[in-house]
Amino acid sequence: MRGKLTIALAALACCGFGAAQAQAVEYANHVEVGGGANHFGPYVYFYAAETYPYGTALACAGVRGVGLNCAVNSGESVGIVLPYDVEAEPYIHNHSTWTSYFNGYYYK
Amino acid sequence: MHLAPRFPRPPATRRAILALTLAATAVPASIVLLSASGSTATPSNPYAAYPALQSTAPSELELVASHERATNTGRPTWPLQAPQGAQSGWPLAESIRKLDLASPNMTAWIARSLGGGVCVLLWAHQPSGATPSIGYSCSQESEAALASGATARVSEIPGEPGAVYLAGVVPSTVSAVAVRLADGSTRTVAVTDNAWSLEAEGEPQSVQTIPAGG
Repeated sequence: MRGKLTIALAALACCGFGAAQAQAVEYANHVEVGGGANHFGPYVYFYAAETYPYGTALACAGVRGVGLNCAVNSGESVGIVLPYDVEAEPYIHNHSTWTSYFNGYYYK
Repeated sequence: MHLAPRFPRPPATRRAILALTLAATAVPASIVLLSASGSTATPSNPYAAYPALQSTAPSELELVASHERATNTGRPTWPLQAPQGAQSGWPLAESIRKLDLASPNMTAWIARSLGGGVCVLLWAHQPSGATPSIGYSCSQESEAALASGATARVSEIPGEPGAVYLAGVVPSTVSAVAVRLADGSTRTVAVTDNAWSLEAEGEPQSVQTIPAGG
């Protein structure tokens, strides 16, 4: 019986069923970003970055050295997802012409 | 031994009691059923204007249980499960459907967001060796936001200075999108199955939807 349980646990571990679920980390909360300016997060391992604007700002989410994704409509949330972890900086770009506030997340 | 009722009733009385009992049961039951059907009327589908979400075609986007130890296969992937603590704008894997774009250099998908908005996911086919990323944008869940749709604008791709890739989803009431480009000119792009896309040089100035029959 104990042997079967060990085999089952080993199978779960080997096949990835026990893989830890990814999680969100908030790196910026209500941070002020000038029109056209960036706010860079920490240098970390992660696979996705996300930006939420306050009000009617045009938000962008970027991964330095990989790419940038911007909203076109006011108030939309935006993100960028990579197929594997990279060591880089997630960042917020304010695509509006005015200063606004944003939340920034990365997923690891 | 036969047990006769202590107070036998005539047949007419028995029939009257039976009829009253049935009526007493049926009337409140029908009231309950009618009131219930009125209070739980089927809510209108907030995504009714996005038939692309009902597509049965293959999504052609690999869903992965984990990004750990993944390697670059040249194609993007998407997490099977929303990450722990995912925010309202996270596109739900199970709702992702491939869009039919006219642009050969990009692939896009439509999805519902965790918070009830509509999303567009865009893969601009990066140069070989680059990280194949997906940019996504999601509307808020309000009726007005769903009516505006969502647009992703991917840029700053290594090796492609100045290149901007746009893809959007709009309700079926929109027939075209007018994009004012960096040089001041305007390009009108037709909407097909809720989707539109455009490749441009430099940042577009504005995007305006054109309603069907408008």
